Amino acid sequence: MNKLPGKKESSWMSWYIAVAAVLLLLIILFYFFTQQFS
Amino acid sequence: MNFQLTDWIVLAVTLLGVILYGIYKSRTSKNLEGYFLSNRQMPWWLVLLGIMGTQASAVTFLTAPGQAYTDGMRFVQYYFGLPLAMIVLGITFVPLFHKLKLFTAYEFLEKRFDVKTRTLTSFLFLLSRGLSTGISIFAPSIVLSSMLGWDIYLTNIVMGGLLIIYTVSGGAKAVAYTQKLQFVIIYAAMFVAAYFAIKALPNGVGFTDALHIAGKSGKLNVITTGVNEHGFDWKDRYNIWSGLIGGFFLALSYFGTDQSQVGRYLTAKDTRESRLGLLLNGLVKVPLQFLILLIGCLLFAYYSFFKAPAFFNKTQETEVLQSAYATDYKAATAAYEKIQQDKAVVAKELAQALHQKNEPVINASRDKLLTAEKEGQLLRNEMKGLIKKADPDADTNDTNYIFLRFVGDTLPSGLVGLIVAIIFLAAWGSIAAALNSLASCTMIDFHQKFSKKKLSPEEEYKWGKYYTLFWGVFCIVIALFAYNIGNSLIEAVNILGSWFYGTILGIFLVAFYLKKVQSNAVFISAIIAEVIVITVSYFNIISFLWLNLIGAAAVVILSLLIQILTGAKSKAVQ
Repeated sequence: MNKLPGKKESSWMSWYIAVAAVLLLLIILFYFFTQQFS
Repeated sequence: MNFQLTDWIVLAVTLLGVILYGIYKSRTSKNLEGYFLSNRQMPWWLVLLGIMGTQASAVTFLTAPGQAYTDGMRFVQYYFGLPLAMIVLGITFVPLFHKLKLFTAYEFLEKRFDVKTRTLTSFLFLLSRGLSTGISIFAPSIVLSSMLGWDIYLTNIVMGGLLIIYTVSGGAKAVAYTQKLQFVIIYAAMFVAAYFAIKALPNGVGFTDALHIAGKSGKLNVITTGVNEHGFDWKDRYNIWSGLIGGFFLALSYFGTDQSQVGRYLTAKDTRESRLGLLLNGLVKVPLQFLILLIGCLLFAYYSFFKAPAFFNKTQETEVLQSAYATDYKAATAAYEKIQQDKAVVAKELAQALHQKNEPVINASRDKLLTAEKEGQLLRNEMKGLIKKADPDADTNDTNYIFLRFVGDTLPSGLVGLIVAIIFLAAWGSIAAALNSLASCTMIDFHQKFSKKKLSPEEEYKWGKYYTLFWGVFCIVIALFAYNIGNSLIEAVNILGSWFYGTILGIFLVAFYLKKVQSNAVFISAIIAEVIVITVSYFNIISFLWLNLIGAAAVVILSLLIQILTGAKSKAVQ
């Protein structure tokens, strides 16, 4: 829990990037999932 | 659907347990901050569960598997814009809302613009959320009443009434803690249902085979581009672009300007806890929705081997079989059953070919399954036409009945009761949050704002409770009316919601990002934008997800233009 970001705006940047990156990763995985079983 | 004594016991114990837990957790300080915002003390994980519990209504758990069964998994793309919206909310909305110590999102509009903009936006919220909450009581009630033979009025009252006990007594705190319990029960039960869907497959057919059967029938279409031989189809509801762009604006509008959601993260201890709740929602929402949709594909695989009902709503089916169209309907049913029998043979061949890695048979099976699926859909459409002819007011959408029909057909006694219980719990999670937010807007944006009499904190707390009770009763009355008026009311309410969301978001975006724009410019732009959205919606030239973008963009562009033309000075929030 102590590693979670605090009040400083800059410390949240990695979280924002992580959320966007996970979305991108999911879309790529879903694409291959669609191809794999079609 | 056979509902036995064990099911009744499981249902009663689960619902009673949640109500008692809600009452137990309902102690809070007797003022508005305690009642509507849990004294702003909630940790991020309760905020997260609150956000998720508010968004996922009963219909979510009924519709999603049915949607995957009929249309495939492409519905998940509807949620692609959500994580991006969470980022924007975390950067812009959350810090400002916390800094201003708001009760409702609409207070901000008065600080930024004027009282008329605040009142109009809050009124639009009360109107659309009040009506849609009534429908979110009615929609699962009609499914349960139709499948279990329960009295619709009583089901509506239980669906919308019991939660009032803990929502009125405990306010936001009781809502948050019950949502936590509801979340655990709902997802545990859904995974049990998925396990039984796999277990019910024939011997020698496993999970991967089921995925292949669903996939080769076109159901695992998770990513679609919306492009056909004529180019991009703007009317195509769910594709990656409408999901990412339209879904982004919808999620931004819903989580940023709808008090039922804003009220959840305003209960957080500080900006950090709110942000964490929202960002984690962005991380988990898409995979969870994917898993719920996957259950629908497992049902599809199951019904590829076993006899699938041609139409899943038995009540409507009985009605058409007693009409002049009975002969035509029976003929269509017989043709559908023939397709199903052939499909079961192909599915077995495919499962065998997959184990033997026999590519020619796999490819041939794919073609046969796709053809069977197309022919089956055509027959289902023909049957829906006959149902509509027999009763013009009939609901021909049986998507919400598919999952429960499977549950009733295959799950053991006790688990059927648990699945029915989660329909109630999912409904309660979103209705309770909606009642709490409707009451807070009525109290803060109207009563407190316009009442000349100064109330003590205890009196305000009491009024908060009265308003929660009032909205609870109001929503039940709407649910009861929905039964009498029928589909036209449900459609009207759904359309109403999509008309206002984009415009309200546009007002907030102007408030945040266009500091020079004044109240009159944004007010006039909102009215023009509304006319544009209604016109576009009326002529049905574009899928509803894009309406949010059109509404928001119209307000932003028009207000900027009007401000430049009128050239007045700004009143920015510090």
